Amino acid sequence: MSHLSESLRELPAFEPPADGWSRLQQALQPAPRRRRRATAALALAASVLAAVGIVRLMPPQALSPADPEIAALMQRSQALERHLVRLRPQVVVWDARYAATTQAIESDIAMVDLQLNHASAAGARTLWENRVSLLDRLVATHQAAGEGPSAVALAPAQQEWSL
Amino acid sequence: MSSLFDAVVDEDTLALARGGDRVGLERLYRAFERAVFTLARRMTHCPDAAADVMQNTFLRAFRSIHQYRGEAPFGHWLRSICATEALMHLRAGRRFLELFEPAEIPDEKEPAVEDICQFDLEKALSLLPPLPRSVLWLYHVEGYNHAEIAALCGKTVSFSKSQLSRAHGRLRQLLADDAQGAPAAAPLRPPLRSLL
Repeated sequence: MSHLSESLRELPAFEPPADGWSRLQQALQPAPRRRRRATAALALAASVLAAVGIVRLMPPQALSPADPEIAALMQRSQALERHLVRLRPQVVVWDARYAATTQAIESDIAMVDLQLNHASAAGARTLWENRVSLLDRLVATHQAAGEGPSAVALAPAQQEWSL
Repeated sequence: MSSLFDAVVDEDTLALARGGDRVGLERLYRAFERAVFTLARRMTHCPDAAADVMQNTFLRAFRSIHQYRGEAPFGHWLRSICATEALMHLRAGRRFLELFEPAEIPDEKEPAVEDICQFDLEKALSLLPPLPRSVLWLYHVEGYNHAEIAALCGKTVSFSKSQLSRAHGRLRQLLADDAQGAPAAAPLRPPLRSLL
């Protein structure tokens, strides 16, 4: 170890504020009633998200595309799904705004999937385009939520170091 | 000398904390409050900001403690959260615009500190720009390598190296100025060498 490392390590530690734990305890307290309602709504939204997520993960039955464009859209859709699987664990705490947006998009995807199960060949392409578009938005929302103040801090503080 | 973040956490405490038990959470807080506050203070150089960074660090850690899988010591996991929080604070404050100079910085060797007392080193450290000081601290005290610092900053290894080089150069300059500017006071201070 270098002299500089040793010398820096020898510098005294700082004493943390005496009220640190009480401040933290307050922040960890259960939210007041109004906030609890919001939390309950979010929890409900989360359960809907989970349910919709299950539906969304069920692949539409139009799995044998003769149309190469549809095949490409399906591949794109699958790639976005895989990307989402990687992104989801990065968002631990959802901001209400992002949660609502995500819920809406997931609901739309579920609706598209439902329609795809019964779609004609002609309508399938449009539906797959919609699905890809919705998944793109869903990925963007997850990325924004993951970078927001309510995201967990383990991800690098990347982003705008270069201004 | 080991880092304050090397404190060992027993499994019982972790189990309690994972379950949201206040006793377990407080044990973790007490075990690492000085470590977290010191790192935050070294990086932000502001007591109030350091207190905020500490609060956010523990909040984030406790709320996501289920993600801690025990593959590294708990303190190291907490340290990465703290460093990230402090970097986010610096970025939010935009207090380091002047840091974004061209990366063409000459490779500065570490300053010689054998005959510099702690007071002078502390003073010189306080005069470093925030990001080079943070990189210096993470590298020399917390033991991060350039790749790890680059990951924390979301930048390249070259960026980390240039910031460290910049910190070395500035520190060398500050310590030299201090040595030249206060010759009368120097003998009154214990040389750093004697403290090592």
